[in-house]
Amino acid sequence: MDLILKSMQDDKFNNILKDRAKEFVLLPNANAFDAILTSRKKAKRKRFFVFAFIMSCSVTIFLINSQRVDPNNSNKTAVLESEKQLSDTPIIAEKIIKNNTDKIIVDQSNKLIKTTKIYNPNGLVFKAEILNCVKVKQGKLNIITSANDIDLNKNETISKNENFQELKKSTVYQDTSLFVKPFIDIKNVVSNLIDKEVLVNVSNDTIMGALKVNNVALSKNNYKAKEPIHFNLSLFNHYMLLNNAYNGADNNLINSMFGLHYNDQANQSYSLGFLFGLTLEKMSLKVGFAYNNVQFDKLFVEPNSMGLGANINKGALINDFGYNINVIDQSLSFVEMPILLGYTFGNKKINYTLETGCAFQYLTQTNTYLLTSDINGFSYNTRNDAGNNRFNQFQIAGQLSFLINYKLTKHISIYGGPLTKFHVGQYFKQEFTNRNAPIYFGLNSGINFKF
Amino acid sequence: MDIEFKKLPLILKHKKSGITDHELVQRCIKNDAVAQKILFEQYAPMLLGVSFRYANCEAAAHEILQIGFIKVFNNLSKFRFESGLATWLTRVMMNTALNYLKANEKVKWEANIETIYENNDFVVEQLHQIDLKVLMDCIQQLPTGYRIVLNMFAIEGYSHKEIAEELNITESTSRSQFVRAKALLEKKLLTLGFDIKKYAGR
Repeated sequence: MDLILKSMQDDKFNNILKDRAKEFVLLPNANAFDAILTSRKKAKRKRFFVFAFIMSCSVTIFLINSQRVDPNNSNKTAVLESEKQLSDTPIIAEKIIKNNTDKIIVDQSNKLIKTTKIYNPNGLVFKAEILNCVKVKQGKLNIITSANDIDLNKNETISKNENFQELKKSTVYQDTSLFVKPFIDIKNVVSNLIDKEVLVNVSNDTIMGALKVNNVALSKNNYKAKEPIHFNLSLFNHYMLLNNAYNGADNNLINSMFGLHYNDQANQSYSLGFLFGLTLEKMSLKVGFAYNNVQFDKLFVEPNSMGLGANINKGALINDFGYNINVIDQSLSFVEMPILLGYTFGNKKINYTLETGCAFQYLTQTNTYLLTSDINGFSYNTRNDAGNNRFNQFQIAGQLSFLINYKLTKHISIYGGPLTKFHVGQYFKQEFTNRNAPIYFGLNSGINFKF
Repeated sequence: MDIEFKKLPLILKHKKSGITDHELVQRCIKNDAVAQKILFEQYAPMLLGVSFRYANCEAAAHEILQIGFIKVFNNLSKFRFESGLATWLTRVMMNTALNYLKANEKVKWEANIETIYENNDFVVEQLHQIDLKVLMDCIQQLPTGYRIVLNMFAIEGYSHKEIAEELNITESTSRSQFVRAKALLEKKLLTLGFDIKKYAGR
């Protein structure tokens, strides 16, 4: 009975509370609606950016992976040609001539079809760069993959992957390429098959080169491995061999009778520094810091007498005429920040890079060595006048270099090549505007680490 | 931030405009800012009342309202008119409030039902007479667990089983929370009962 009564009381309580609660309304803040709209807009914008970011990442990954080839993974290997393409009529080689180093293939009209280096002393003929190429048939597709190891003996070649599992075993034929051998049933049918297939090369985990069918190059992009972005660290050295900082107009002043006679000659310059960079495919972007040193000679003659037409050469302290000759050696120290854009040709052990960009330089120090010669003899003084020199504190120099890279390992390469560096804008202060900004020609060398 | 009690919401005003809930929803789905504002003005006072009951302070109530309306505008296309718009909105606001409380407050669920003195007649009498804002303040001052169960059971009409499923607690815990909430509310109202005339009839 008590429970029933209690339940009734509960219901009554609930009903009254419910009725009263439903009556309860409150006015929201005046700006509440605007705040809601603003929050929605922000959330929408945020969703858009997240969506755009995810989409751009997805597209980038897709584009990279869609053409990426991992020769060690058959799932990602490049599909080269269909069966139909491979069954095209081959060019028949009429004659194959061999000497100690080359295999020369000629057609029926004695026209040269192909010259191939003989690589193997056992008589096997194949191009060195395709040594690791193996064609594996998967279903209807012929797939080029790379072999980590190839065992050669007199009768057969056994290609193995990185786990030393057998990829392919082929019988060795004299006068045929190791690579194209599966298609060669007729002796002398060599050349066009090489053109069709062998031009796709695998080296250092990267498929390089173009595929040709009937001597028509297919799009490289269809078969070329896409490399991911690499990070680089380069340590470099620029050494200047030649420059144009010598201003010929000053010769007249040297030989004249009045005024201050001077001549500028940048006789030496070098840079030492490092670069951090990104490499994507053939393009690279590098930024770094370097120390740059330029040594200038300033030669001037004080006009203390007539007859100054002496033959005065830089650094030749001739005092036979009784007037003072001063030589100032100025050693300029710059901190520079190079920003360089590069393009690499080739993907072999030796490749070439064309690199251009600019270097922002800040003059930090000028050490001046004053060597004076007068009647009483020579005196030698040193002073530092970085704040009081003839050069602008900030300099910008353009740079162009052609580099030859040599891969020591997969990750380390050394490089070297000619370099030209030219200063843009005012190199000298305004009172010396008749001076040319120097253009240097020199050597660029360094070591590059790829991560 | 003062909360102003108002007995006449803007519903009448919009009823005059002749826009039905269906039309309002359709226009809101198309991101019609005018319709969204009408919807907000029409239902925000009622929904703020809901969030006020669940929240532990005025500021939290306003925050819950804002979050709730963002959800409403984002998910209005999912409303199928299987229930009234006000019911759906209340449900959204309640869920928002529960999520808000879960995220911002540590709820203590006590399962033991002790013998609690109840004077229901007095409480019922108080409920009839007391100023609505004061009553809601009393509810708001209850501990979070009590407040949630009291709201869901007594006002929203959920059963203890449904509450248990919703809050991931046992039914007995829900009952316990309700009994305690009711007892505590009664205690608060009794305290006010010493000066009942001061609050009654406002």
